[in-house]
Amino acid sequence: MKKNLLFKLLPILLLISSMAWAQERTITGKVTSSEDGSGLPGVNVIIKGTTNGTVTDVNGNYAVVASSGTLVYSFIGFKDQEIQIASSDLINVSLLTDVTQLSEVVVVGYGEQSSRNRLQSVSTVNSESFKNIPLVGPQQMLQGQAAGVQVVNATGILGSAASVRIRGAASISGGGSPLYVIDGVPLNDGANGAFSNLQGASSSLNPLLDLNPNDVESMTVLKDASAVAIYGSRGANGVVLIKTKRGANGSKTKVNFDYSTGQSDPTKLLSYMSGSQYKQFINDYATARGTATTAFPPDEFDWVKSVVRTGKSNNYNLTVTGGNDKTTFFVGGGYQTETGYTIGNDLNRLSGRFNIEHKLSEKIKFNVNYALSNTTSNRIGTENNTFAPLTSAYLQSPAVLPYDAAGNYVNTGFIANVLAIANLNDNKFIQMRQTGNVGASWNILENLKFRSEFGIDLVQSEQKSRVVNIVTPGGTGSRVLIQDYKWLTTNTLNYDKTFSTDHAINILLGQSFETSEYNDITVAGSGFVSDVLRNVNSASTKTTTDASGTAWALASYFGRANYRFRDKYLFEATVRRDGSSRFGAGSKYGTFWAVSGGWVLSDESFFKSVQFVDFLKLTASYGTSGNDRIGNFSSQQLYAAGIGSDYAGSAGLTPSQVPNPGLSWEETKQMDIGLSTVLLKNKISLDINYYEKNTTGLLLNNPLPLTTGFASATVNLGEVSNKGWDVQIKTTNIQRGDFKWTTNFNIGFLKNRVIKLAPNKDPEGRDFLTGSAVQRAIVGETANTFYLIRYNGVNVNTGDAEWIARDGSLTKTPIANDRVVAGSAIPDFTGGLTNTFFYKGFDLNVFFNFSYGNKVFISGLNFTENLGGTFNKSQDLLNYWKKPGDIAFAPALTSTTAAAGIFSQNSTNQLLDGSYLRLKNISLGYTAPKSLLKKIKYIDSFRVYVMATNIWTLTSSGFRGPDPEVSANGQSNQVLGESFFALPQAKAIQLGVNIGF
Amino acid sequence: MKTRIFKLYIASLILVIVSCDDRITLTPQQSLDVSGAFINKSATESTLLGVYSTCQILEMNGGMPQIISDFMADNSSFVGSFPTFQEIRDFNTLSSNANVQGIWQTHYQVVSRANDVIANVPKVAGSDFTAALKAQFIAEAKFLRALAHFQLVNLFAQPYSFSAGTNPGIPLITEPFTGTIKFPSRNTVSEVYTQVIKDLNEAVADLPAAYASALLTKGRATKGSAQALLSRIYLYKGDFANAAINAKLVLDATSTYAPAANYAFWTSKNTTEDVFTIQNSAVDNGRTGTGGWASWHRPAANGGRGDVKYSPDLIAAYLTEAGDGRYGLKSSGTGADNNPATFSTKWSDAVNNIDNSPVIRTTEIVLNYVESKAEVDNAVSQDLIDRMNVLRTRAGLPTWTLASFASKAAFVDAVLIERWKELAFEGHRRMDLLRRGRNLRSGNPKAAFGADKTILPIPQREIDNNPSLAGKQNSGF
Repeated sequence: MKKNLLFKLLPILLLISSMAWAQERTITGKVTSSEDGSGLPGVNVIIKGTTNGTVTDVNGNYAVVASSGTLVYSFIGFKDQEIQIASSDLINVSLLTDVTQLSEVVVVGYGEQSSRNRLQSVSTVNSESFKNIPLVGPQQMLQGQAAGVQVVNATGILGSAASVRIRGAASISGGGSPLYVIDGVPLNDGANGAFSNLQGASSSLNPLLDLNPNDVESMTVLKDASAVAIYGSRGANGVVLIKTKRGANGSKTKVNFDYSTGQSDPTKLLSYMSGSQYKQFINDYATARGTATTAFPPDEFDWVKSVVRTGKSNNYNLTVTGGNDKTTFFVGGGYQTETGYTIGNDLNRLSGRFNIEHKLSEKIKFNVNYALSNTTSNRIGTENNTFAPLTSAYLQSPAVLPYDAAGNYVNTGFIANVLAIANLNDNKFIQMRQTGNVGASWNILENLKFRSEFGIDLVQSEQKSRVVNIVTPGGTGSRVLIQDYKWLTTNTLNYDKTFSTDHAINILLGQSFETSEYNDITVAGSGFVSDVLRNVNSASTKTTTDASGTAWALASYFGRANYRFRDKYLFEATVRRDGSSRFGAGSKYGTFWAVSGGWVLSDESFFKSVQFVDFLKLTASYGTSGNDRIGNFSSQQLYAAGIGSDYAGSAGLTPSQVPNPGLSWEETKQMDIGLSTVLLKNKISLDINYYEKNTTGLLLNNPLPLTTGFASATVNLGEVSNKGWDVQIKTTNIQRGDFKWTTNFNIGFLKNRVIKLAPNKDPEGRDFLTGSAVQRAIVGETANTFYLIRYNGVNVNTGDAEWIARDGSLTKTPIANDRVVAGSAIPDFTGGLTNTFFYKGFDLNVFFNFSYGNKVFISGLNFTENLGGTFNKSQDLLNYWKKPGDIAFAPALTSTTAAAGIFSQNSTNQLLDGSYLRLKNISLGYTAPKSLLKKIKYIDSFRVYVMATNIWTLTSSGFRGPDPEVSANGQSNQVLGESFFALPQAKAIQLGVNIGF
Repeated sequence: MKTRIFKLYIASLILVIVSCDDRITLTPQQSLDVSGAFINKSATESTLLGVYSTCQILEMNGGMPQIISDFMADNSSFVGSFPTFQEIRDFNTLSSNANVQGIWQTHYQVVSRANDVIANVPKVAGSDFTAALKAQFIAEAKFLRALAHFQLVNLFAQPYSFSAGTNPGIPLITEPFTGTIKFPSRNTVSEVYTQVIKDLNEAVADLPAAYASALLTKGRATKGSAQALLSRIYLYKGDFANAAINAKLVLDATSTYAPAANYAFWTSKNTTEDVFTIQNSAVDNGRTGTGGWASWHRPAANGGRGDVKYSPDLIAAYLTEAGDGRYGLKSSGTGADNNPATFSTKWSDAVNNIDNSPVIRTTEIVLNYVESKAEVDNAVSQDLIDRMNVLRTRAGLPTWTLASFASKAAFVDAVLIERWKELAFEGHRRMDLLRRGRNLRSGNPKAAFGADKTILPIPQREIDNNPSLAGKQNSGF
């Protein structure tokens, strides 16, 4: 309100001041958008050659005191316009919209660059793309939105981490997730365990769990060497730069409130037998095999139905933005509550953010970005865990009941009573996180800027568990406290100058030091008098008292030089030197570099005649980056103390690590060639990049013969290559009157090949590295190749299940030597297609994402398709062979291959086609027109929307898994596309309203 | 003013930069390097205790090889959910079986860690580290190395009786691993026996008869426990004379080793019934998510998994004589398959897992002695009858007399049945049948003596990673 007043007073003030210079006069006018004629607030109006000027008010009006000369009107998203002051005191200006793509300023490492002049290969996803999408994890914003970025949502569990791979995994065992940097602070990624309380799966909690997606202005994915080299030893997997929202200069203080509510259900459930089917099958099987049948009680229970429910979510977000020419600010608060579609799982997040920037003088600027969040979650077991509701529900015999006759919970044995667990146990996760930085910039000279930042990422999490008496006699309890505290300092000098009009240079020099210290405390106990006593304090036996800590540090120096000739020929060079505590004494420091060049063809005179091309740029880059995720002390031969070494009440030591003093980072060399063009009067913009990434010195857990006493040693050995194309097309298909239709399509093709591994031959004579029981990296194949016995089906004549032996013959008793390459977990291509339609106030957004050519392995089928045993089974088994000629799913019950574990043994029978096309999101919104809102005081904007997520998925026929998106092993590069019993993605409907004041 | 503050700031930054080199040299907080592990007597003793701690692990003496041995034989029935155990139970074991790999890995960890101690102890300085104590530490490590090699050869190779030890055994590792990868091939069963016997005979010379506490005397290697293990090894080899000699040496140390008066020793811990027992406690035991002694043998209602129950054969064997006290060590409950089952109560605590892991008990040594002595003498003596009657009386059963047996063979058969009933669920049954050339179960050709899958496969990972083992897999895998 205050600011409004100020703006209204401004012309008067200016008028008064103008009296001092009789020869000066006040120029007034209105700046409008050429697109719709609306007034543009916040436009800079400067008298050319001076720093004098003003900005337009909320309605686009301005008043500036000037005598003569030229006024320059500039505003982001519009072309600058210069107007000579003539005799009239009234100058109205209509600004032309710029080719948005090119005028866009893109966040890059330690700076920003204009899209037009940028040489680095990056993808940017702006808040517009994920507006109204209720997201728990910000990584989901990247799914299907950025070419070459593969996002696999691990499970439908709330808060679980999505697996993100940028241009394929440049590593095999060194960790494959990108480096996340929020406003200049590289985040703790949970490698130390703050997020890795696994509860049955290797997929951990999301390291970005605490970031409110509503606070995000943009996410920029750095892909090629010229973009990531500035992050040195941590850039090889790509970098995701997250910029949070800022205040706006010269606009009135805006308050925005957003509320949405919704519900969710699982997209798909696995097949399971009903009680009567189960009882019949168990006894048919026993009868056929001549073993004792079971006299089942008459009752039965549908466990799956009892653990699945409709999830509910509520999101509240309030933001306040504003500022003047001295101070701008953004304040955001969010509260989110969500209950998952399986019992026992919920998540609440309360978060706040405060971003402020203040100009102390023309030369000195300060800023603070600070975010605080508190996340509380009731967790559930997942995947391979008998406490996981859905896992146990699939496996629990439907003849077993959760309650006794009196209605009390009973202990159901090894497959736990998940109803009792959900209702009586505690499994809480509480996390507090503070992330932020304070910084100052000082314009030492006109073109020389010094900037210093101090950043923190403080994570404090608590896991509290209590298992009641009925589940474990006497009950158990535990409490884990984890602190992962990081601080860093970054100092940069930036020199930016244009000589004459031909030469422009920009030089960045910087230094940073970053260190993180991790500590945890675990206590656990058992033997409680009563379930009412919830803390370890009341346990009669304290089974665990443990505290441990670790730390790492990174010292770095970096620089980047950028030269442009007439903005037509572009060059850039980057270098970074990193010293890491993680590497061996002999190789503490490494240097990473990149060079790139670009040519704006469309600015050449010979190209001007090509009418349909608005802009055309060719770029090429080459350089190196590294990956340091090998654990903190992998280079040293170690003997571990602790419970694992203690004996008979005395402290012990056991060897835990093989020495490797030369251990170093992985180095990725990457070549990138890019073409960026805008065609047909901005109707089409197209970006195509081809890249080749070659990673050498792969940090491999080189498997040792177990006779050495060690399972593996970390070594720098091996080579992997990733080649591919990233294509991004944005088109405006129709723009006529009130109707507009735009399309955004992106696709990334990837070919991953293992070039070299530690010597370890398979029967074909190729070196390989084991990832899981069914997956390995093989030289000449992908790093995630499924290596399995080929299943051939049930013989129609004999009723025996048959597999294909190595020599191609059929066998009923396959052996390990019959395993062959059976497919890859890495898709041939992934991408997304977004169509957006606007008509008057309505907008419709339809977003598909897809993945093609990858296989997934569902090991839960080892259990649900095991003919023997007492677990509940898939209904598919009812289709067993009964007589010659039957085309059956399962073998005859009398067959030797129907013995427990034989039919369901690991083979291509559980390997499924993971290709899919998914209608990820469809949303319809209505924004009230300004004319209507003018009648309602106090409301600036009003929008309602409805959105559906994951409502339709196309998978290959015969897909028996829960979801084609599975990633039980989370961030592991060695095991992709495997699941035990993944929770499928949620199918959600969301209704929301957004009001601006 | 402002400029001055910035100058100060930049000066302090330079200090930060200069000191960075030190800041990126960090050391771990929970581990020591190799010099730290063998820096003095007490660190060396900790490293030796680390080898015992490895024996605690599920896959060594924490119960896994033992329950497998019992359910492969007629001792118990596996009704749990693990397909890996179901395979072994059904004699359909695959070479990729993860539990088999775990067993192999843990045993070789024991071997490797023992080798580490054996190689490094002589180099440790310190006046308090006497030659005798050094010899003792090496002897303890040799005892554990022998135990691991012996358990391995029993699991992964056909028994000595299969072809007088000429059949493939397991790789013998006697050198420490210092970073250079070696690819050992399989030694014959006979070579394995020779090395194991050599290690134990060397250990006997340097081991003490007892330690400062009963817990350590039973929990660490002693002269008696090395002789006891020797008696078992000779018995499995069919060298009854040496089996008898070594068993007698143990039994003559009556103050340390004597059969307990009743079965309370299962909970009272470290009595004269124990010869070598892995010491567990609530904070330090071998149980994992996969299981543990009590976890497998106790039903879910008692905090366990209820995976392993009495076999019908064992129940039938106990019921041949009414009132057998050993059959009193049981409880009824619901098995992992949701069917009623009878469980052993030898390990009772499935919540905190405080039960010790029995490795060698005095009762076994009595049985070793009686069986081997009868074979050596080719006759039954009153002394042997008396020794058996101690066990019979403890079980509440009528005593035997010389007249009870028509022949030595009948006596030995009866002793073997007593052995089964005494040592049930402790992992002995499989080898007690195989060493005698008997079938693990009746009426199942897959369980017959010498059948391929009565032994475990060399883990596929090991075959894959060790070129010397290519083509050396056990037959049938």
